[in-house]
Amino acid sequence: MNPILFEIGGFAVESYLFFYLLGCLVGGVVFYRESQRLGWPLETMLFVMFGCMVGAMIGSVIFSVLFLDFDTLPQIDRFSDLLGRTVIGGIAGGFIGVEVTKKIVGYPHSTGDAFAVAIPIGHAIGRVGCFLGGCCFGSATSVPWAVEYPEGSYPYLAHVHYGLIESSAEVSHAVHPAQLYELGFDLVLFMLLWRLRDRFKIRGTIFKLYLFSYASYRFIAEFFRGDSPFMDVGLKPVQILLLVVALYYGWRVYTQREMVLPVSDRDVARHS
Amino acid sequence: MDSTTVLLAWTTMGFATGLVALHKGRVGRTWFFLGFLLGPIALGAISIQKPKDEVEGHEPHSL
Repeated sequence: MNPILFEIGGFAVESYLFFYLLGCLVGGVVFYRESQRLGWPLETMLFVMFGCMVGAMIGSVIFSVLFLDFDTLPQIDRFSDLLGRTVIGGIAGGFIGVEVTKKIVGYPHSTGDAFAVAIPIGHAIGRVGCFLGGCCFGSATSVPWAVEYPEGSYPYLAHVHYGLIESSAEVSHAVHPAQLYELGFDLVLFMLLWRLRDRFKIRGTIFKLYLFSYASYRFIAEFFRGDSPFMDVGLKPVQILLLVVALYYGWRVYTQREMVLPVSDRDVARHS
Repeated sequence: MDSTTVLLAWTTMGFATGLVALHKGRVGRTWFFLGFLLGPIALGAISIQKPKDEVEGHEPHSL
């Protein structure tokens, strides 16, 4: 764990903040390049990007309050630290922000396909900050690749609260590196969606595929995460939401699955 | 940094973005708002654009 990445002139740069901003920057550039490649209107796309950013910030804070387990982190400063650190809230809020902005500026078409390749790569970079900062941590485990966090970290505080470790312990219980699992998934998803981005006939299908893929992954990943509690039925509240999203968008992708041949295959078909 | 300074800086960013946009044949008022809302992102985006008369074959602008 390395919550402070470096210092410049006595100003400490947090790992989480650094990689969060870097992820936003890279995601923004990918969205910009992709929307320009598709010939979408630049001004409208920038307004949409702004709507997405505002919506994501609001959604992230709302989901933090609803779904994170703040009982395990009793210090009030920790509470404010974690506000706005849920990517599910960010995606949901960003989705609403984009739709509201499109209504305001009068743009009727789907813009999700450019976001579908931008979000996973930005998200993967952001997860490096989560891993170094100690948020979004995994559940306790004894697997050989498990990681331990030092005194004062989020996992440490949670484990003391649940009695997994003594308050005199030097490090947390070993936990799954859930942030790195998600980093790997996001990179694979980015590469997959990048390859498929021109293959669907109906605009918006790639974004639906992204929502289906991420919600499905995250539903499973929640079993390996330790930053929110399970209900009596063996699921977390957020998993109910993820299941609904995965089923709905899985069905939407299935109904819009008609694909076009890739350019190289089209050339082969034309010449044969 | 107080809120007045931030507002002033962002307004300046809006004007700068609007000016660059006008120079490139775009709607200055639209780009003023973009510069005000997105700051350096909008300024960077318009700065790397070619003048509008050099661009062809794109979807019509809705703004």
